Amino acid sequence: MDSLNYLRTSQRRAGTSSALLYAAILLCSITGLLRQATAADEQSLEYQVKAAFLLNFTKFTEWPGSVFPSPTSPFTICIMGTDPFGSSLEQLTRGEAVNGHRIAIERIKLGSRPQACQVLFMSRVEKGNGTVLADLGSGVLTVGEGDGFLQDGGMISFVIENRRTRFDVNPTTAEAAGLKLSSRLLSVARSVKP
Amino acid sequence: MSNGSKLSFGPFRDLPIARKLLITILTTLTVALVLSAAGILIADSALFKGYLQNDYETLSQIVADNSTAPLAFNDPKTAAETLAALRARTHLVSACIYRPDTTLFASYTRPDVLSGCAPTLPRTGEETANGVVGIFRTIMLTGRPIGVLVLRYDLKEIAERRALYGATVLGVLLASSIIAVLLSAKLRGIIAMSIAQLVRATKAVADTADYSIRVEKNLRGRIGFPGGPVQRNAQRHSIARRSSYNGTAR
Repeated sequence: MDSLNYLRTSQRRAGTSSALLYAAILLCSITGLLRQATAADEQSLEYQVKAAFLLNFTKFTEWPGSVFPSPTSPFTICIMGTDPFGSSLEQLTRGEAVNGHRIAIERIKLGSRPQACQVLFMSRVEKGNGTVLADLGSGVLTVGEGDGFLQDGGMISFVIENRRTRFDVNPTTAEAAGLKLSSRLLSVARSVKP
Repeated sequence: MSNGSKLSFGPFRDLPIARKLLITILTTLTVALVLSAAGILIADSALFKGYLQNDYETLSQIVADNSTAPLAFNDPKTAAETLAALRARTHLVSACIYRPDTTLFASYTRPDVLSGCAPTLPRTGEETANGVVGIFRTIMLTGRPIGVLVLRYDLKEIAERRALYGATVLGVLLASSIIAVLLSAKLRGIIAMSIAQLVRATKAVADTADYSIRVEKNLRGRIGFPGGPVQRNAQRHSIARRSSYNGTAR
């Protein structure tokens, strides 16, 4: 009788442990999924803001007229390599124009020579920005991410400061490429490289 | 004049001629100054209100232009710094920038003002009351509205200007009265003395029938008669006396 009771108790204990184990695994999975979802949402929000900024950069920059082959040529924003914006950039730029040129989004492979881009964006995951930037012709506003982008020869670099999207600017590089950055843009930059 | 005039100047008529001259000069001066000052004040008040409106409209345009980048790049700190520069305008009550969703983006409120910017965009007209005027300006970027700037300023500047103008007019009036009194003391002396001498001479001729009495030669010029008035007076007196005497004799 005692042995039967012992067996029953052991079975009950084993069942409880398994349930707890399953619950713990489930909880971890849910937490992990939630974290992933939150991180994805945060990243999505971050790139929605960056997409809006990218569009706004075009409103505070002057391009020389010679960069457009014809009056009907589009104003092209090129994304080189990985595209972190998803569809947000298309949504934002729909129906928008820069100096009368409708905005077009073009995605190009890393390493390929960008053709007819007025804005070139390179995300932080892409390495070897320096080579691409050095080969670019004039009239292209280069936008990237991280502290090293300006050192590689970029013009505007997104940075995250206190969970806010900000940007650093190198107006000298922009000027060398025939672009004029508005003083208003410089006034809201986190830092302006001499 | 004494019979035909309907005006009664009361005690003024009995005052000495020197005092009459002084009062005449000061009254004319005061009336002229007060009337011109009143005209200038009224015209200036009307014009200055319009000038203030234009001035703040221009200011709002400048602030709106400088707020495009902070709004476009969601930088309320820079926008607040731009607005804080308005502290130099002491009659500006508040400056508020609202996002397109009508929430407050950045603000500046004069330190002595208790009610600052509303948390949401007020309706046009709500900001104009109790001597405070509100200006609404839509902040545009490449032809699209990206926010609204609301400037509120008080109209105390007009009252201050009136007070300043009033004090200036009062000062000018006081100074010109003092100068007028000093100047007229000299001028009054010339005119009043001459008339007094003339009166004395005429009275002496009338009393003594001595037609040899003469006034100073300079006095003729001061009074403005080309010939000696006493002589002519004396001649008239003489003729009158002779006719009267002849008549009596007849």
